[in-house]
Amino acid sequence: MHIYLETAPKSGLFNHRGEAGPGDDPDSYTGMMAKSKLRVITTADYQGARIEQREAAPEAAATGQDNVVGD
Amino acid sequence: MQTATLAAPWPGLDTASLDVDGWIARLRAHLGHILAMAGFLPDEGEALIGNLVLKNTDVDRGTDLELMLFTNVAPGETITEATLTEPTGTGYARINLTDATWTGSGDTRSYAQQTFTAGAGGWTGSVQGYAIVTKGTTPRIVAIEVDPSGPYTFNQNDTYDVTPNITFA
Repeated sequence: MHIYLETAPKSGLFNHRGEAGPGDDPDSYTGMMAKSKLRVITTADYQGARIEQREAAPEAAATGQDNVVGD
Repeated sequence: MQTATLAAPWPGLDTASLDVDGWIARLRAHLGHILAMAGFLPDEGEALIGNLVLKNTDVDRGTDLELMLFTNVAPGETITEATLTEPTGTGYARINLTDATWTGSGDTRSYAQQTFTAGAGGWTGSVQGYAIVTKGTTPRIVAIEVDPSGPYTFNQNDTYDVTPNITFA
């Protein structure tokens, strides 16, 4: 399991932290990081040094439209 | 990966050819971690504090504390000092935090900035954050913080500044 941690609250940028190993507890780690308003993404495979996952704008989410310019 | 020629404001950086991503990582390490941090008190620290405050005894406290770096990828609430992993290499050693040197009052205690400096050959292991542990019979973690800007790979002369500042909330 690969661990990605948000670099700052609501940044939408997640640094690859490494693969969970003995002694790691991804579920508890996710909960601890959430208290600092940092999100955690776990993946089965390596997805690169950094993942970008921006939150949808509230109005776009409400209408069901994505916020990609040009669509 | 971007490359750029930048002036080196501190030792250890190769100014001939430097990747911007690496420069940014080193800048963050040098800043003393004023960025948002993610710290918590694990279970063994809670137990230690409970014993000290309510029972006025715990042989695991000992005299002074130690500041250390860790390489564990995803430590949870049940992490223990015994299962923390540290970087290895020249120049790495835990830093002693003398009991009498803590300052502050009310719900906040602070300690002066401490600096870890990688020696010849750099360190093995990606640094994920730092922890403060006791030095008693069985060392216990009393504070652990994940650095969200990490992890860091330390080359020779790279530094990492930590200013312990703990608030009880």
